[in-house]
Amino acid sequence: MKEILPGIYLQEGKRKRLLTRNLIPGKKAFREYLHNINGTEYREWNPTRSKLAAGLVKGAKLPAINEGSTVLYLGAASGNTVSYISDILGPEGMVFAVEFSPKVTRHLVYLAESRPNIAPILADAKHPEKYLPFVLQSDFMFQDIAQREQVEIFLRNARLFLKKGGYCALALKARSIDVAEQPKKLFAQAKAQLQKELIVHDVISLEPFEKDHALFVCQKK
Amino acid sequence: MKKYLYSSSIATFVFDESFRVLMEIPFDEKLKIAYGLALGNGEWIPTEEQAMKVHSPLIVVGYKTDKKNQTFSNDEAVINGISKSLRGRLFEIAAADILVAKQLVKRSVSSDDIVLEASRGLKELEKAINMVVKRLRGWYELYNPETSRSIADNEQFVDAILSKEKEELLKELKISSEESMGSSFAPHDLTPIMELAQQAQSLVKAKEAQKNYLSNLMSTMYPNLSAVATPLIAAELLAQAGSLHKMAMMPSSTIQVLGAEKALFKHLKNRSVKPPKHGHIINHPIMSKVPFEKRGRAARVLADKISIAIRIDYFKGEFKGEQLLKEVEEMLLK
Repeated sequence: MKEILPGIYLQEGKRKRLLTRNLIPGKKAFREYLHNINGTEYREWNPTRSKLAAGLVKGAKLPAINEGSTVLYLGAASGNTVSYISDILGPEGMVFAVEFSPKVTRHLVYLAESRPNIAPILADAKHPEKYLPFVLQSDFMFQDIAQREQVEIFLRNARLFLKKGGYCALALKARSIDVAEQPKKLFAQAKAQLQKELIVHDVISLEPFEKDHALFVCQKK
Repeated sequence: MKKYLYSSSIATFVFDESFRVLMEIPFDEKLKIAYGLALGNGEWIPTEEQAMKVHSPLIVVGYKTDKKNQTFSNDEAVINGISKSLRGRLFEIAAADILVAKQLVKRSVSSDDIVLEASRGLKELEKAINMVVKRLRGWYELYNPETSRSIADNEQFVDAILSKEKEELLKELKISSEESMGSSFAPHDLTPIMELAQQAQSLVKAKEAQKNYLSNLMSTMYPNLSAVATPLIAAELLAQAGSLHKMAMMPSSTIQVLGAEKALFKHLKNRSVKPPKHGHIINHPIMSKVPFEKRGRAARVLADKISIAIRIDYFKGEFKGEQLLKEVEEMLLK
């Protein structure tokens, strides 16, 4: 087992496993597998259920998620990926998890109540100024929203809530921008749009874990 | 010297140019919820006015629907300064965020959600009944296949086997028990079959009750839509659309194919596949009276009137449902 990024471990073997150290040992956040390795408990991070994990397995370099840093997560849903970021950040860090659907926010609230470093926010990521009272500027930003104007939303949030020089990652779903257009074309368009304001370090296709998705790793100028 | 006014979910702050806290008016538990909700809506809160009386002029950081002639700055450098200054209060803010999120979830429940759940629940109950009765028939046919074959309707079949004995049922079909292909069952082998039948019957009862409830709910909440589309189809359309607001904003061509998404997207991805003509509205009683080759036109006409009806309901207009339905009938059945 080796540490590929701070707090993120990759276990080689028959099957590659992505692991994070469990912040609350003995407790599962969802139905993930727990592994006990040399007396420490790890949670298995499934790349088919988390686009961030898929990106990491495919080699994304995200140096900004460290112990004690703050993260803004847009499109948290029920909080699966959020729980792993919470593991990595440890008790001193904080994830601000923004989600628009009240139904899944319920799960997010349960998760936030069981883990000290999650702040759930029920709000529309299209209007970042509306959740200004609930969020602080963060070291890292991640977005996974199936909306037509995904890229614009990402930029708007990065302007307000990402620190200068901070990294951010966008999981882009081509099918939500246009069902009929070729994903490759849409990825190129999105890259051009992002480059106007951010440094785009990497564009990683999330095949075979997700169809027509790409992870854009960017940095604020 | 510049001074900034910023309200977080725990307190209203006034910062100086280098983002030292000049003033802090903390919120107690109750105010965290009330003010948190107000701030999220872009409203001014009393503590902000209190701070403005002491310190002015102030530059406001945040979002307000009514600007009240104040200067605003949501500059990233300002937010950065505030965030650094409040880094030590992170966990207080998170705890307050949880309180606000809980209230927002509570307030988000609308009457649409009830219709949605009831409509989906009804569909699933129907599926469950079919599944149970299918197994019941398979089991019961070992004992009495002729009756099962003669009663095609699931609900009637369950009622019949519960109310009458095998001999009676066979007599109705004029078959003697020697002639029947069913074997004879000992009473203790028959009991589980009958218990399953009782379960099926109670499921049917539950389904009927839910159906009535949903029809009444739809007719009172969406009178126009229910009058044109019939209450149950109206509920299905609404569930597919997601909410009253979403459906009211839809063009009638979208309403026409609600429920036929699979076929629609197949068409959008590959234009050599023909687009669907109708979604849920194919179940409308009028559609079965229209000749097959005219169903495309009928679906279009019906969807038009449905979209008018839902907009009347959305904007709380007068009742015009019956008139709209009459118009549909005139256009299609003459």
